[in-house]
Amino acid sequence: MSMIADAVTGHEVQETAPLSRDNFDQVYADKRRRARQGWIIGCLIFLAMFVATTYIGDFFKVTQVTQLDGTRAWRWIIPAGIPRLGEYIQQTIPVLHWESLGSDLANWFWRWKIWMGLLFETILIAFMATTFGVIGGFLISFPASRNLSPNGWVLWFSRRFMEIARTVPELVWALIFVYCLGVGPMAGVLAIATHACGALGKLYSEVNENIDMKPLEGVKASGGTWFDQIRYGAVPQVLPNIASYTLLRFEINVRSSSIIGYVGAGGLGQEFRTAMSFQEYTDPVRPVPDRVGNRDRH
Amino acid sequence: MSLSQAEIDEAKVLIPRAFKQPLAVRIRVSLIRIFFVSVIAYCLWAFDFSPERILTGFERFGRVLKFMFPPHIWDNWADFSQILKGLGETLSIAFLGTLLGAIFAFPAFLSGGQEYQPI
Repeated sequence: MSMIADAVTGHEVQETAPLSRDNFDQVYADKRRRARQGWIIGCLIFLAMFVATTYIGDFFKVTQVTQLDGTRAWRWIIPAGIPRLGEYIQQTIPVLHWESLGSDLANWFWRWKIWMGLLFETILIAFMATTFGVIGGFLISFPASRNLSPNGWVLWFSRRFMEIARTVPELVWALIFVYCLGVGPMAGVLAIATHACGALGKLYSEVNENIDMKPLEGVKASGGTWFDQIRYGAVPQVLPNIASYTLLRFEINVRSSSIIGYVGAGGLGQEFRTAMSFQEYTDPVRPVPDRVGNRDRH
Repeated sequence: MSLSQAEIDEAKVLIPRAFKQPLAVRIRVSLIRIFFVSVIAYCLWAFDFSPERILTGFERFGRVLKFMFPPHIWDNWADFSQILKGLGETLSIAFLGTLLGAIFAFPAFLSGGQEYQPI
């Protein structure tokens, strides 16, 4: 909104007369008026978007609910639905009695051997996907950064490749790879690795664009090729940032590999799916994706 | 300017750590490398990364790409309106989700910001 206001005022101000002591009030009033106009226009656009999206998204839809005394009533869908969130959370809490704690716990963790195996597999998928993604992203980040790229075409192609790799979500890559390679963790590894390659390549290339170019000039002056310049001029400067982005990505990948089994690509997701479809909300595998990493993804 | 072998040997005695890491560091580094390589090797074995599987995978991936190109263009309104509806829903979710998140996050700046704390 402020952008619209600034754009409007910035555009209009250039047309007014130069500021002097005589016309200050006039110029100031004009500027204020135009800023207000821009603000109102921005608000109207925002309001229109809000109304349109609430209409499309059924935000203020009215639905029938059963009240406590059994009668039916019309309510907005959101106030009617929010209490069910509490119900859901309540259902994930297991029933434990002190007298029969051992058997209750055994009942709660009834498939723990399978779950531990799948948890191990999930972490391995994330590890391997991170490795592949880092290798791919590292290699492609140099031709994809504006200051290091050998020529425009290489820059264009490597950037488009990274965009395609990271705009397609991991789950969609997993669907494609499950079709290509069959059900199993290998499809999950390749799916997450492809997505991570695009996302990491973008982050790495931004790191590369912020480096000091003098070491590269030094290598070039002493007769180094492009690869030498990258290896001895750029890589030592970017390594610390690459390490930190890699660790962040590993965290994100653990989370996504725990969900990727939903489409049959290995890991805990398969168990989530079964547990949810059987409405066994207490199965402890379910909160795992929140526990292992709830950082925002890049 | 080039160094003679004698000068290099002299420097090695004078500052040995410029030429070689201490033993503990070397052991640690090689242990980490062995760990990484063995985990990767185990994964390659456990996840069944066989060359023929990858080859058939590429073949089928080519088939998937063939589905995508040339892209399908909707020629009647009935099909296209469904796509438009989904597109609109996607954008609505993104917009309203951001807006609601901002609304709920906005009060948090008062309680979360260090400068706003009374004490």
